[in-house]
Amino acid sequence: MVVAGIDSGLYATKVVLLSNGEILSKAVLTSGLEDPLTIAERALKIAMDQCIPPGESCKYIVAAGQGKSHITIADESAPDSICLARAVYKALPSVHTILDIGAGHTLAVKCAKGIATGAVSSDKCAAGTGAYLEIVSSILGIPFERMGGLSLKSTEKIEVNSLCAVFAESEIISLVHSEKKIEDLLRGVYRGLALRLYPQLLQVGLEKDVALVGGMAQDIGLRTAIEELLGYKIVLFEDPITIVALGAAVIAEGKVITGK
Amino acid sequence: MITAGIDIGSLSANVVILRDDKIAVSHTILTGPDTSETSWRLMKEALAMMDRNFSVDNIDYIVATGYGRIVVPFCNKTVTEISCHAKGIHFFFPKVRTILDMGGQDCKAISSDEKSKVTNFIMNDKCAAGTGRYLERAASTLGISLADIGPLSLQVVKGPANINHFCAVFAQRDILLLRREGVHLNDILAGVCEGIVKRIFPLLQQLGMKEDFAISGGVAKNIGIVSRLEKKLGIKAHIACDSQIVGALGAALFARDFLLSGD
Repeated sequence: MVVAGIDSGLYATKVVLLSNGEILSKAVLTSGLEDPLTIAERALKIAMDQCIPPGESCKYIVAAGQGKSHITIADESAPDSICLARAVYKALPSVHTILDIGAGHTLAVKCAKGIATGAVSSDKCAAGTGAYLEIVSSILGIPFERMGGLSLKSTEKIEVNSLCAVFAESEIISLVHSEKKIEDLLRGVYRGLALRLYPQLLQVGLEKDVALVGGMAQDIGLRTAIEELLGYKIVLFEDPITIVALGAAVIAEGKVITGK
Repeated sequence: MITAGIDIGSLSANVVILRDDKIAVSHTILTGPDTSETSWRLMKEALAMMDRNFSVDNIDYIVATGYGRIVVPFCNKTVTEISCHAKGIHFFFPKVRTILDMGGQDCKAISSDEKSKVTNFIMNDKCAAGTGRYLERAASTLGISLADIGPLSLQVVKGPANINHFCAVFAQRDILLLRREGVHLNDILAGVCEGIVKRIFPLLQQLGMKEDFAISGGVAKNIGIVSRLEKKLGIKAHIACDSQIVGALGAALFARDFLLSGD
């Protein structure tokens, strides 16, 4: 019996297929300009083609993510916070606090035994999300994937103080003009972002272990900056991008088994 | 008696030269990367509009203001832009007690007394939403000029579009999506202007509105924002005819005061 979880995000659509508690396959597609449903259908097909014979279908589909209301092929939708709690319990049960950093939103979730006991989300300001790093990457002309590694080579502490992603643009340009080293600048950028994310973690309540998920979780620069604030290591998932989709699939499986 | 005020803003640099309390010359250029060079170029171009052989030495007193005021090499004194704005506005409209100054990267609401002295102010310089920068991004996203935003935003076709986000970065995405959905340009612009007004209004409420009311700064040129704000407040605003020079004019008036008081 195959079930699917679909996470329809601003930048990427992720699908995870589960069967008897085992991950069968995954698919991640860039959301692009098409409507969320078309992309979700395509991602689902890619994932299905990897593991199940043609003609067979999914028993149950749960959708999550900001585009979830468009995913009409799903049997139901679920909030990201609940998906995260379920996925964490399955993949890394030691985790009790999760920070999901996406391109257009951040979500901090506190969880215990697969239940989300608290959630704080933020989508008002680009300076506290992955969009900020995207802007920095385009101003500096450095690919996003390289920024984190560079920031670790920093030798001098620089503060990037702007609270607004638009104003940070000017601030960063003037720091570049004042011949600051890119490595130091990037470390300042990550530290600034971490400082804006930290209150969200405090608000939801910090309890070890802490995990980062979402598109920005693999960024070593951001992870290091948050670890510096926490004073301890963050736990990493093998595949932090598809965690919400995994949680949605876990929910789908639960529905089929228990019938509720 | 000749005095000058120079206002180095984030986007434009302005100068006003006063001859016996009358504006002899006013001039505006874009602020370049080198502020000191910008201020020299601005001054030279303004001086060229004065009488022949007129040089910076012929000016009795120069006051600099704006965020770049500390690097103007030839000024006698600096004054904050808030004081200069209040002073400049009072030159045109002596009855004004509340001023909204909307610049390229901040927005200030200022209370002043009958002597043009600043009594209170509230400022947003932390967030680009509600500043000229937001408008610039909107204009460039839509591929139109800044000057077209106001007039087009008043020719609403179906109704102002709903721009979900306050944040200038996220709003840019909203604008793109609306455009892709085929929403009329004018309706998007109406949504942009309404968004800015929503952001400004609380500043004025917090400050406490007292009439007369005036708007200065580059955004005062945007009729779409001015008319919507007037409607929301239920009062008419004075607009300094060339509102971008208000700060420089205030600085020139301070220069006159300092010269007369021997300060």
